[in-house]
Amino acid sequence: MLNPAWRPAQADNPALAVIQQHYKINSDSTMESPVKAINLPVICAATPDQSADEIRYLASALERQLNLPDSRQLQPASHWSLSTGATETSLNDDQPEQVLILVDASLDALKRAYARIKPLQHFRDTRFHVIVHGAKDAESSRRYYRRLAMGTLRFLDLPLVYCGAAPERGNGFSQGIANLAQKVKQSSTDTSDCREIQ
Amino acid sequence: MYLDISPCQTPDPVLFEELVLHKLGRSSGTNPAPHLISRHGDARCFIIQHITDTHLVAAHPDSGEKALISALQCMQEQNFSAKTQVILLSATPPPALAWLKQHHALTWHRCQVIQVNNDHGLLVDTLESPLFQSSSAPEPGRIQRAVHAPPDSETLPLTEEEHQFFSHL
Repeated sequence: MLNPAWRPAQADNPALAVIQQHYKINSDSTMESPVKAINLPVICAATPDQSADEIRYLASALERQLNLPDSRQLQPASHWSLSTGATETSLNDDQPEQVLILVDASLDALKRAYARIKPLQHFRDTRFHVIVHGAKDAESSRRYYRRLAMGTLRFLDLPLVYCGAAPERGNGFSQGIANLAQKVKQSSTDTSDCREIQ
Repeated sequence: MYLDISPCQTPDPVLFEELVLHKLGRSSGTNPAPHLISRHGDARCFIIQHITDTHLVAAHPDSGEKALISALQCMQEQNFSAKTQVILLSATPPPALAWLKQHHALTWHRCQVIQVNNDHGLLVDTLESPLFQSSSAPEPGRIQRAVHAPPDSETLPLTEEEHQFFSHL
């Protein structure tokens, strides 16, 4: 039973209406219209343990953001599922259309990410999205991405797609996650060649 | 579209309180159901009896350190037993948490802090996580998030040339 105290405000406040709708969707065990399920395996590459925590946190926030409905919709058109425990074995069972790589901004993490991508080099039709975490600025983030992308292209002939830098915790976090989710959605539906190596 | 829980858009504290209680009740299925036992600071901080010997102290994501101080004082007033585990939902950044830890050392050691930031969705996820099931007792005194290290067996060794390539930017 919801507390009636907030109900009068809800009618005039679109933000509260969206929250309530989101809440109701979660409460319903059955959905009336079919929702497309998108499974997005996630490869996490971090060196220090603390970064592993941060990257997991980032993945869960991104998943939540991807599943938020559009402001004009009552429920999301797709249900995204980010599986952070993705392994070569599990991926080989059913070659995914796309894989998300969350990599820490360090050389060790780049090596680790590369070593985890290497067994997947035969996934010629899979799109690999990259998000760089922990870089000091956007330019630095892009440099780490480029190194990884140049390596996979040179040694594995495998192109990567840059989604952006992970946002820092703080006031801009929600906005940053929203931007990343938007890029992931765009690049997953974009059929053109958006590979980026400079 | 994204849901920004910024100060101007924050759901009011009553809704927040309702959300936490309702979600806890649905996800944990505990008997008796979670119930509010104390409310401080204009409902921006409250304590919920959740599982036996486990209390949830929830500070509104927009309320910052003030609500946390209120929460910690509230814990002292409640005179929880030494067995009491306290789960603290907080959006307070780590430096402020460190300050609070210094000034409330006596109560802090029983706290498990979960950073929810200004992320409404993450808050919901957190409340639905196994952490709040009665079978998984939280470990106090640390900020906790789930960790799943990637299995090393799923990687291939790098050649010397690859090592060299990834040794510099």
